[in-house]
Amino acid sequence: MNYIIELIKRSRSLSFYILLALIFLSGVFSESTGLIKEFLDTFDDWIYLLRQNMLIVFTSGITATFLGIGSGILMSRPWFRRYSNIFAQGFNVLSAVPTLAVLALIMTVTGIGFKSAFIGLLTVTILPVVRNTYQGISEVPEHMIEAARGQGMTDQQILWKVQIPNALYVISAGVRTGFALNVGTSPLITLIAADSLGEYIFTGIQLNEFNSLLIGSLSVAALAIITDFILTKLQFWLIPKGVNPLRFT
Amino acid sequence: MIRLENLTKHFEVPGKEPIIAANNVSMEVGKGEICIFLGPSGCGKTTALKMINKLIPKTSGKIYIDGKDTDDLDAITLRREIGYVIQQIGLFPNMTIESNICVVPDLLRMDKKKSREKASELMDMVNLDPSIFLKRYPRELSGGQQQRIGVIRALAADPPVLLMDEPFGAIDPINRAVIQDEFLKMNAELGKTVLFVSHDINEAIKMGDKIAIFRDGILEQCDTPDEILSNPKNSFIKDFVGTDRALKRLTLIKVSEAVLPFLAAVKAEDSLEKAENKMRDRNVHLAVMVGPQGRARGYLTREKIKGEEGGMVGEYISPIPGTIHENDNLHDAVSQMYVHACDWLPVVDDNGTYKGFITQHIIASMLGETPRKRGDKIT
Repeated sequence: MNYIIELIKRSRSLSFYILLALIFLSGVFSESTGLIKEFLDTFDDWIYLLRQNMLIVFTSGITATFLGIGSGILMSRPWFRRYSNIFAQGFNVLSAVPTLAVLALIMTVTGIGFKSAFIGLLTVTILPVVRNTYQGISEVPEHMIEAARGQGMTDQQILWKVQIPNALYVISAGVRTGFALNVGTSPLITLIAADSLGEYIFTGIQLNEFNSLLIGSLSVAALAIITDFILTKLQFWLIPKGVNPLRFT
Repeated sequence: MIRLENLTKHFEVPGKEPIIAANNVSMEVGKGEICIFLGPSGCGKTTALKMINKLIPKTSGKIYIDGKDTDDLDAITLRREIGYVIQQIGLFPNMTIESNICVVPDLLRMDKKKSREKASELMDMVNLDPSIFLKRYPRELSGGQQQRIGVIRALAADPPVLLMDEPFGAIDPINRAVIQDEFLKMNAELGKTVLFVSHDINEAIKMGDKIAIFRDGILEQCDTPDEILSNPKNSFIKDFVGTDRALKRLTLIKVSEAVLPFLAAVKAEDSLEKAENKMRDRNVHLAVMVGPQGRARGYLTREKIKGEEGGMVGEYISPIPGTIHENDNLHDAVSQMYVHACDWLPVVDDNGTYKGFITQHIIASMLGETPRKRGDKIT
C-alpha cells in the first residue's frame, strides 16, 4: 500500500493518466446525458452567441480601459485635486451598486439591446480602472516627483515620464479586475435582450434543461479564464521591466 | 559664482504668524568651492538650498549665479542648468540606469550618443562598471550604488552648479565615507561649485571648503572649517561644533603638513656616536633606523644610548611602534598613537618608505598656532 502511495506521489505521468481518465469519464458522462448531442445540435447558435459575447466584452472592455485611464489621469491632476475626492467617493458608491441593478437602471434610460448592454458593461469595467489609475498615480513617491522637478521636467513630462510609467502595474491590475467583472457580468445582458452566452444559461434555468445550463456556464467560465490568461500575458510583456513585479528576479 | 543677497522666505500659516525659514541670508560661494549648509533640523538650510533652483519660491532677496540674476530665468531652464541630488535618491524605477543618468541631457535634447558616452565616463569615475550597470534598473542596485548614480545623474549635463540635499544621509557610515572620498576626488577634477546641505558636523568638516551654519533661518557664520572650529562666532556655534572642536580640527591637517621631514635617519651599521651627534644637531630625542629599502626598521632614543660607547646602532634599536601614512590626517595619527601607547610615529608613503616622524608635541603646537582673534571670550 505504501509503495503505491509513494508511486503516486512521485509519478508525474500518473497524474497525467488520471487527468486523461477524468476527461474520458466526463466525455462518457456528457455523451450519456446527451450534452454533446445538444452542443452539436446548437453549434451554430453557440458560435454566434460566443462571437457576440466576445465582441461586447472586447469593445466595452477596451472603451472602459481608455476612458477609465483617461479619467484616472484627469483626477490626479493638481488643478483637479480638490474635486477628485468627490469623484473617487462617487465611483466607490457606484461600484457598490449590484450589477443587475445597474443594467436595469440603464435599460430604463436607453432601452434594450446591444447599446444598453454595452453601456452597462462599460460602467462595470470602468470603476476598478479609474480607481487603480488614480491610486497608482497618486502613490508615486513624493521624492521621485521632487527629483523629476528638480531636474527641470515640466508637469507634463513628470506625468508621462515618471508618474504614468510607475503607475502602470497598478493600472494594469485594475484593467484585469475590470475585465474579470466584465466577463462575469456578460451573461446577465441576456436579460436586457442583448446576445450573449447567458442565453444558454437562462434558457436552461427556465426550462430546467441541465445540458443547456452546462454549455452556457462552461463556455463563460472558459471565456473568463482565457481572457484573464491573455491579460496576464500582456501585463507580463507590455509593462517595462523596471516597474513590473512579475519580472523581478 | 553663487551670490545670495538678503534672501528671505516666509511660510504663511493660516491664523498664525508666518514662519521665517530664511531671514536676510547673504553669502557668496566662489567657483569650484564646496559650501556646506549646516544646522539643526528646521533651521532653514534646506529651504535656502531649494530657493536656489526655485523648488521653493522665495519671498524676497536676490540670487545670482555667475553674475546672472536667476529671476530672469524661468524655473525649468534654471533647473536644467543646476545639478540636483536628494537624500532619497529619487532614481526613476521605470528607466534603466543609463536613461536615468541621461534624463537632463535628453530633456535638453543633447546628442544621444555623446550623452551615453558621458554616462559611461561618469560611471567609471565612481567605480561602477558601465558594461555591467548601464542596462540595469535602479531596483537591482544597492543603496550606495544608487546614490552614486544619483550624484552622477546630476553631473550628466555638465552643470556648473550642484545642489545636494543631504545626499549621503541615508547611507551606512562605511559606505558614506567611501562615497564622500569619491565625490571629493571627482570634484577636484570637475571643479563644480557645490552647495551641500548636511546636519553632520564631521561631514561638513571633511567635505567643505566653507561651512555656513544656520539657526532659525539666520545665517550665523560662514567661514572655512578651520576658522569655524578655532573661532566660533558665538555660543550657539560653539555648542554646535561640539566641545571636542580642537580634536575635530585635527582632521583638517594632513600628516604630511606636520611631519618632521627625513630627520635623524640612521643606518644599522652607523656608530652610536654618529647617531648621537645627529640627534643633538637636529635637536630631537630619537632616531629612526632605516633599512636598505628606506623602510623604518626600528628606533633608538638619546636616553637609551647615553653612556654607551663604541657600539653599532643595530645593537640598540627597539622595534617601531607602528606607522602612519603621510596622506592620513592628524586625527588618525593621534588615534594610532593611543592605540600603540606612544607619543610619536614614523611616517611612511605609499611604498612604505620612511618620510620622517610626528610627535604629540608637534601636533599640540600646530593646533596652538592658529591665532585666536576673538580670544577665549566667547559670548
